[in-house]
Amino acid sequence: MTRSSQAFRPRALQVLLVWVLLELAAAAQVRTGHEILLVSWLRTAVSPVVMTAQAAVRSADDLLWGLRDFRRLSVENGRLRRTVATTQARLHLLAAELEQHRMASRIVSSFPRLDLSSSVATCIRRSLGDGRLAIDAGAPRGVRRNMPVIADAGLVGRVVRVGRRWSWIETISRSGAAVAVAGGPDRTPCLAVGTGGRTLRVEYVPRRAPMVQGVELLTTGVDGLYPAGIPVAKVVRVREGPGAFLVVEAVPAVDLARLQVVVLVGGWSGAPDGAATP
Amino acid sequence: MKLAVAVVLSFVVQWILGMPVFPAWAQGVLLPMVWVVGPPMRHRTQHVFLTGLGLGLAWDLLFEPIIGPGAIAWSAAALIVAWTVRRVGKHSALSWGLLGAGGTVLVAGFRFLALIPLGRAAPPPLVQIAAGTAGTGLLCAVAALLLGMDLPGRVRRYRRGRLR
Repeated sequence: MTRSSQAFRPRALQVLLVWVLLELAAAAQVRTGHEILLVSWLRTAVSPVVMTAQAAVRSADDLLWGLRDFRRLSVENGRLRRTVATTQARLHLLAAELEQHRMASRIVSSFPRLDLSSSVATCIRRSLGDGRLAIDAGAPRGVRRNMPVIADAGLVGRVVRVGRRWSWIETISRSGAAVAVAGGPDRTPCLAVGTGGRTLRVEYVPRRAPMVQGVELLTTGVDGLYPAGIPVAKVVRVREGPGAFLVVEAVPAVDLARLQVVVLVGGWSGAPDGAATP
Repeated sequence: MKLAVAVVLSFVVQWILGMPVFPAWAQGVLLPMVWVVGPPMRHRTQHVFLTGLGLGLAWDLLFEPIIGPGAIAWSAAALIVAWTVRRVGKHSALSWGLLGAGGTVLVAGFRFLALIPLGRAAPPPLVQIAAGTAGTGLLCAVAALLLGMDLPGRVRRYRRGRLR
């Protein structure tokens, strides 16, 4: 190959480039409709890129809005969760309060002789081994020492210690606690004494008293602490002892282990209570 | 300088051939084709592409509404003609004529191809192509014969004889 022939051959790429530039220049001189052909070509070439970019921008915008909405919904969801939790807690409190009111109304309906100075309290702590209960009522709510405390089934005990927010109750089953009671067809007076266990010991029951199993013992009021006519216990066992009196055992009318709501007896009308007295 | 004047003169004559006085097929004769065929036939192949490009641009400026397709067509024709000359190797007047005719067809074809993307492609009448091909080929052959006759040398020799 001669030198002249080598110089004759221009590079194909350069030739093609020149031809492309000439074609573009020609396209810049041609008008198609309302625009230049070159602009139409550029638009055709660029439109996929522009459309892709626009789609990407729209997608990014949608994604941002979605993230904002998700964040807003998350915050709203958290707020609603807290609201639901609060509402559920209030609901539980209201349910407990409603149950307390039901029990209180049942107690009040069981004892028509209660007057309006009586108040309702909830048992917040039990110390049955020690024979004491704590309630959520204190001196500001009118609780006084030695106030009788009853439940729906009968006598619970009396207030022995009064605090500002709570008070302590001595139950009738506490060892040493005593209640003047009477029972049987002839209302034999006797004394129900706590043993520290689940039963009461009924003392001073004469041998000839008609005291049998199942007799309900009611307060007599002679002890000056409890008003008369409140159920205290039911006789479960009667036997003769070595002394002058019968050996009688009774179980409290109130299930002290399941006690929740009590009524502090503020006053007791003197009229006979048909519901409470046998 | 003489060559530039000759090129300009060829374009002027080409312009005149396009006038309504002349028949329509006359404008199909491509006079500048001589400047495409001549250099490679005379072993001057260094600037064939640029020569064709320049002739095409001048053609577009003078005779076409759009500048560009003519330049592409003329430069492509110049490249192919030069490549053919190098492959064939014959430099006779017949070769000149055949290359001129082929160059005319190439210019018309490449111009048609270049106009397709622009939406302006329209095949020229066959009569015009045939007449242009024949006329251009004949023109190139005549140019080869004239060059072979060495007219300037003859004129110089004639003048020297008269002076004696």
